[in-house]
Amino acid sequence: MNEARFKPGERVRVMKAYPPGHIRTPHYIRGCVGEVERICGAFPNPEELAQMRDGLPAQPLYRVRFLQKNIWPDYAGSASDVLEVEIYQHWLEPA
Amino acid sequence: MKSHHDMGGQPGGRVEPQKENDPHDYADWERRIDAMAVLLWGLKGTKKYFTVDEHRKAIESLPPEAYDSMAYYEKWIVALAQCMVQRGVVTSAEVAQKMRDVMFMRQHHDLGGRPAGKVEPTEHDYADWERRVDALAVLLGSQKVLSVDERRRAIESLPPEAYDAMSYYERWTMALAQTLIQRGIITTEELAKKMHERG
Amino acid sequence: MKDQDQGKYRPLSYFQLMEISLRELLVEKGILTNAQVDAEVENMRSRTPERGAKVVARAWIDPGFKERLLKNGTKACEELGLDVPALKLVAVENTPQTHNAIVCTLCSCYPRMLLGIPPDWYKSRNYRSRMVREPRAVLAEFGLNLPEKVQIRVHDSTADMRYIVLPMRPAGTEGWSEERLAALVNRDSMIGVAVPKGPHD
Repeated sequence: MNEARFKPGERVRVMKAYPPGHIRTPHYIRGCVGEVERICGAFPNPEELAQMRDGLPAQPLYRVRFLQKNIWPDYAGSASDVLEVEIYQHWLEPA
Repeated sequence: MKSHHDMGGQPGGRVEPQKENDPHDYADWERRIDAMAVLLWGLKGTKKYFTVDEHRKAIESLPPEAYDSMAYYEKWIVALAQCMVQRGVVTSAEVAQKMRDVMFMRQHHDLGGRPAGKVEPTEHDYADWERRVDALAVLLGSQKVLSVDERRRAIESLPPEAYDAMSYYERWTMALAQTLIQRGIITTEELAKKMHERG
Repeated sequence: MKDQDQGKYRPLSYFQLMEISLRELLVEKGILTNAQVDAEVENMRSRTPERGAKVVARAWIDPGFKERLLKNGTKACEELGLDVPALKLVAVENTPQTHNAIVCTLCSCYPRMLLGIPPDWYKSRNYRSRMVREPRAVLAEFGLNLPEKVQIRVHDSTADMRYIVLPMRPAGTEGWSEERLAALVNRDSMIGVAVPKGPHD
């Protein structure tokens, strides 16, 4: 498995990339900055599994927490509301 | 102080007449802008969202460098956007979001954050055939015949109208068929033949 | 005598025909048997939200279990003797300050091994689109109005983890048995669009 680069509490940015294929990083979260909530473990890469390949080596998967007001410019809720998304390591860079 | 667009009497260069056999054939996108403007100005018996004069004012408010370097319909579309936001037809955030989706080809199934209607808390008691589709998918996955992500990809590759029109398990059924064929476990011919026999 | 003569024959839809055909081909090729398919259908029928309710009720009465549940959801389920193959469970806890809700914007990921098959609305375009962006409005449509001082945590189930909300134990249930408590825990409270029934509901 690939080494885990990020720790809980670390600030990360989701890459602003828009490749074709089967992607599990939602469009709306790309480019956003959040904080690692936990490392979920490492799993075969779904982008590769979708192409009938084995997706190995396993990729670290993180739950990343974002403030809603940092995702949606017109967010109408509490300033403390958050959105937590599972994101694969290769989609994250240090913020 | 003279406004930038108000050109009468200004010095200028040679006029380049279009050659007779080589007119600027307006592109489809330019024609669509013209059409949208006319409709939004309420000129075709449609509801008037803003006036021609608001449109003109928006164009005239462009910074001089922009005004000079933009093509005619480029100015129009920016003006239209401006008027639509000003009149509350759309919000800036909606336009930004939509431009991002279009520019970066948001995939049709990738729904998070898209505008949508009220959530109807409907449920239905799943039909036997739907449960069997689910069971097939689970079994084939656990036996490692095919992966969940291959099936998901097949669903995501459905044409948008099909994705929208099909029910949840109808999409699963198509995706299973697609994935099994891709894996070479069944062939298109076999499936066609079997469906023909049983249909 | 009432006229009960209602025929059940309906012509097969294209997709029903496809399901039958796929299954028969798989059986002919020795990949699956009909018995396996039937058994799996029964397996899935047996997975109902009552399983999740058991987990919640145990967490309400046993603080040690609750701690273990929040740390490793899957192991906690196994501790209760629940067979949850391939489930990677994350339990998220509601408190007076925080309310959790689950969605899968990309498809329909759901803790099926614990709660069964998700309801239609969970898989709907409208829920998947709006829950991440305007959770308070969507919750209000479900009849759940939360004050602004309560933080809303929405979880988008995008990858391998599956989620269950551990709702707050209703007031007025002191001394209740685990079984009685479990009966208060409805499916929607474990997704996060509702709260459990109260003792007088």
